[in-house]
Amino acid sequence: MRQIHVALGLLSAAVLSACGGGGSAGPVIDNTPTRGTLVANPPVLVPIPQASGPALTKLDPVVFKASLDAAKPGLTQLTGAPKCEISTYYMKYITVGGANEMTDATGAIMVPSGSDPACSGPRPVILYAHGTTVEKSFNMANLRDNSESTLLAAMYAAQGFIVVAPNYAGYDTSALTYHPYLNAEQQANDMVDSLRAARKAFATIGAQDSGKLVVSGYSQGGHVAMATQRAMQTTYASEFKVAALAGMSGPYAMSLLGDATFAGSPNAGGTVLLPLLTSSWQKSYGGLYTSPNEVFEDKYAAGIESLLPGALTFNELFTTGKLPAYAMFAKDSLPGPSSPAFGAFFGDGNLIKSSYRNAYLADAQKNPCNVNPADPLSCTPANPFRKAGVKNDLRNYVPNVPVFLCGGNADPTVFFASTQATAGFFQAKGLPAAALTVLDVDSSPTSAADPFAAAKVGFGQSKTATINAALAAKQDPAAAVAAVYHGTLVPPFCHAASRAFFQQVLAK
Amino acid sequence: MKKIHFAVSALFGLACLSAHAYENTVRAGFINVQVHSESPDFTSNGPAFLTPQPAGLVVQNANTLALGYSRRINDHFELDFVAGIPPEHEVVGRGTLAPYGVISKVKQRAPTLFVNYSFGKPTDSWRPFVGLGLNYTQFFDAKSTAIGNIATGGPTKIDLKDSIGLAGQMGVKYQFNERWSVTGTIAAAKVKTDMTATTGSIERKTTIDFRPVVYCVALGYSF
Repeated sequence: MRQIHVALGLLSAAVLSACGGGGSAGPVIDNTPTRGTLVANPPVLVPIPQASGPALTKLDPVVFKASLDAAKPGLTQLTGAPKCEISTYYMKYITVGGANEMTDATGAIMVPSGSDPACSGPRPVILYAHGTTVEKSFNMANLRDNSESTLLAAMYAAQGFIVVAPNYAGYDTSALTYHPYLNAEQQANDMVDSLRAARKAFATIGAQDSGKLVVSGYSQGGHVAMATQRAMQTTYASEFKVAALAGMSGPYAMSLLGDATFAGSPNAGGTVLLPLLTSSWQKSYGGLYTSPNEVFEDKYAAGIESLLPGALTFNELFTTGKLPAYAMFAKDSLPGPSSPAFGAFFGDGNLIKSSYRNAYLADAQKNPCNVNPADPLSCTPANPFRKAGVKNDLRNYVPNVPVFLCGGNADPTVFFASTQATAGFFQAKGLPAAALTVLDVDSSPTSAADPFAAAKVGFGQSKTATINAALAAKQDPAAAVAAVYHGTLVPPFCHAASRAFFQQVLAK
Repeated sequence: MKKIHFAVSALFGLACLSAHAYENTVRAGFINVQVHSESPDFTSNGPAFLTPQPAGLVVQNANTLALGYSRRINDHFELDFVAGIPPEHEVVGRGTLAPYGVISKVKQRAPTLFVNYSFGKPTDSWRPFVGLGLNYTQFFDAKSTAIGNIATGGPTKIDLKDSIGLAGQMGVKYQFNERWSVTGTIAAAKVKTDMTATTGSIERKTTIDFRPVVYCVALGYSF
């Protein structure tokens, strides 16, 4: 019997050995349904794949410079040669949707490091809002494939800024089934929550926050950045201290732009932006329509609420016939185009029902907004779309931080009038001239001392190159410039000028 | 763990009932686990660019010490319990994960209970046998390697579900004398598990069919 005991003892020892194991711990998961929760800490460190062998964890500045210049010759003359190594993280955080419902979203954190003094020690943080995209898979953590993210990394992370850039609720793996597009309150909440979550990760991922915070964004993101700075000034002042705001080509003056579109001056890309807006505002506030076919022609109305953002690219939306490329209004809809340049937006296969346009215009006539530039929103529109436009127009506060507004005066997508009207409003409301800088990159240097001469000259050269390429290809140069104006020509120059503005503010 | 305790105490009970000599045999020997793992590419709840496809894994072979106990039922049948010192398997990447080499390691304990049928007579020196049984495999100490953490994007928790499946074996026993014998076996078992790797907010999942073939040589002592 004793032998049996010994034998079984051995056996059970073997079977039971190494209980309570030493497996790897993994991230700390937090699913607390509270705004700003960082769902997993540390977030995912985005690997940098190599041609062969394992990926790297840091993007080397020399390698980055080579890839930037290969993609766009001369770009690093504008961005500056990258100084810092960059580690990019992909985070998930808890935020709210357009109707204040709890949801989640994802975003990027870029952390600079390296021996250059600009890369080590406490670093300033830029909270960045990206521009409109129709692709749900858009990801600011994907430096390899996302040109906006690459430009941001080159402008800021490679120069020693910690970058926090949310993808927004409704994008990537967010649980929200729509995107609260240009819902100023929600988008500010989203930005705030992404920064809260990022701050929770900073210690884990070696990001040393100097406490200096700047906010910027391009296009949609320009609006979002300003809405965020406004929220941090009015609602979250104890939690966030913003050093400066740089808005680039943003539709800050929402109500102005909406009224201009319906009056006969539609913007390029408007056939895509308008459904994004109606879906957002319908889901956020309700009441825009009972059925989308009250606004949209029947051939587009079915499924339009879930079309954007989605799997299709901008061009695929047009080629598959989901949306018309230009025809916003019917050919015979009155009033017609405000100038011949807007003729293309009136045509067959139009998006907006004339009955809806007529109702909109009737309300605009009865309850006009933007009458007094110093008090543009003292109006009471009855049309729900116009109401939402006023609600999300940012000309209702005065920033208490230095503001830089950049754009190009011939922008066909987001009219420069938005920037001018917003700057004019701020001035009228007492924002000191020293605290407000407006840059039109599509203009000539005012003098040899013009601090923005380089941006203006650079933009001019890019524009000329586009014209020359179009002429060489026997294409219409004006159309060629318009096609790339908002998305390609303006961004690098406004980015470079914004960064110079931030660096100047931060140096004080 | 509860299940294992139960298995062991059940065996213990059997052993205690043994009134006659030479009805029990304990064995110790060497096990070589040949894994022929099959698993589909990882699925992910994260963005596609963070799990570039095809991304999969292959489980490597392992060696360990075997321990076994068998209890004679009659001249042809016996109950046979096989276990071993839990071996550690290296897991290497496949597809886009191939350049990383060993991305994780996992230990397993796989107690298996067979009913064996032996051919010939109890007095034969050589007795071939076949067995059918049940395998229980528990995975533990699963860890992502340092290079694995680079592939996945950070500290990674790996979880593999327990597996229960049929097992079969065939072998031959050579009896030196009344007490001492040597046994050689080839066994196979259905070992299939769901794996989840958690990195940051991303869960990547696959199912691994190990398809193990286990070679064992063991020295036995009867009492």
